[in-house]
Amino acid sequence: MALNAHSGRPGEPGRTPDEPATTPDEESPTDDNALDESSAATERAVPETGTRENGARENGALDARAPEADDEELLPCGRELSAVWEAWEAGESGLDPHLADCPHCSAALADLAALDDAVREARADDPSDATGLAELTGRVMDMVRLELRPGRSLPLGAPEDDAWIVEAAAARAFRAAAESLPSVRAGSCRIAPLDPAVARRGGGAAGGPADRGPVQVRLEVVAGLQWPLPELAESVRARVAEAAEDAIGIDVARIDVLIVDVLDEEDPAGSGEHQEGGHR
Amino acid sequence: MNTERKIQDELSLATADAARRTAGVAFLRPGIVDRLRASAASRAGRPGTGTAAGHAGVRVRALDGGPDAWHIDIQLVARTSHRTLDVTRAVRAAVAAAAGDVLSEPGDRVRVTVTVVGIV
Repeated sequence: MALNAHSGRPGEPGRTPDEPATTPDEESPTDDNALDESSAATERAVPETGTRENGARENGALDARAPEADDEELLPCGRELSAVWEAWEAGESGLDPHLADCPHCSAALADLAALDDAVREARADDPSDATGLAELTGRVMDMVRLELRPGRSLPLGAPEDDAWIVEAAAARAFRAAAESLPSVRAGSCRIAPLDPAVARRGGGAAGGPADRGPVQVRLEVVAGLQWPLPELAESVRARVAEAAEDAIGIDVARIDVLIVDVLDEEDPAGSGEHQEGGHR
Repeated sequence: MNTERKIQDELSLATADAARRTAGVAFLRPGIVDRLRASAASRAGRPGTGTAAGHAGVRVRALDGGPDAWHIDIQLVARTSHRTLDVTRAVRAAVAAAAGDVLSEPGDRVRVTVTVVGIV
């Protein structure tokens, strides 16, 4: 059983660039992410609605591919601007000859490098603040990622509020809430309308009254061995529910927690190999 | 500049300012991608997206093809120190008031949507 069946994507919205890449493989909110029926998972609806298997089948909204954001940019050469940038951020742009040869990709990378330089120059007055520089650079690049891949717009509050939040922003808050627990690292977080019909037609922009309704969350975590799995799932679920209500104000009807790996005591940062064969 | 465009610009300025001043708003969507796209388009000899610099977080468009009905979409980054929903409600109220100051006709209609694109 492959615990990490989905290919990771560098630069997922909502992640800081210095976070380990060896936590559960993550996808952007717009990636395909079919639920693995056989994976080691412990999840429950809020309120409880059944087992993982029937829950997954009854709530296929998270399996549905979210429509691409309206502003997905294709360069004249056919490459996605976001993919070109992500290759650069991952240090892989030199591995693809096209990126060096193509004038459009080269120009896009030059613009990104100029942005990076501008941020660094803005902090050059205080060279001793290397930590602050890295943090600021990371935050700017986070914002670029959020703009490139915001994910679907999810309803906030009541219909009369006509307020929305992009999936990437909410997912980041939920991941942070989970990671407020000791030795817990959050990976992929998908949020979608509970109603599959709404989820299928959801888009990247604020919708109308028909697009509103409660949402469901699917969050992957890894945690230390000290956690009993049921207690871990309950604790993560409680933190996410608290963040949803108290910090954001989004109506979350279901929270599925998938424990995709456990961490050795000597490996609290999650830098070890992911286990094949299930949870321990 | 025609009347509709003039009203559109005035609404953009007034509502952006009102949103920025609202407690819990870190900043409006900065539009970094739009700026880079415009730069890339310029290098490639293509027209840009037309997004006005400094107004990436505000989208104003006329509804029903006329200057008396408007959709104002505010895209912002909220602060973690404030409940996100409460921030959007405050922004909505502030933007509606600012739009009301620009639109003097009693029959004018405005839909205000607030989209949170980040939390810092």
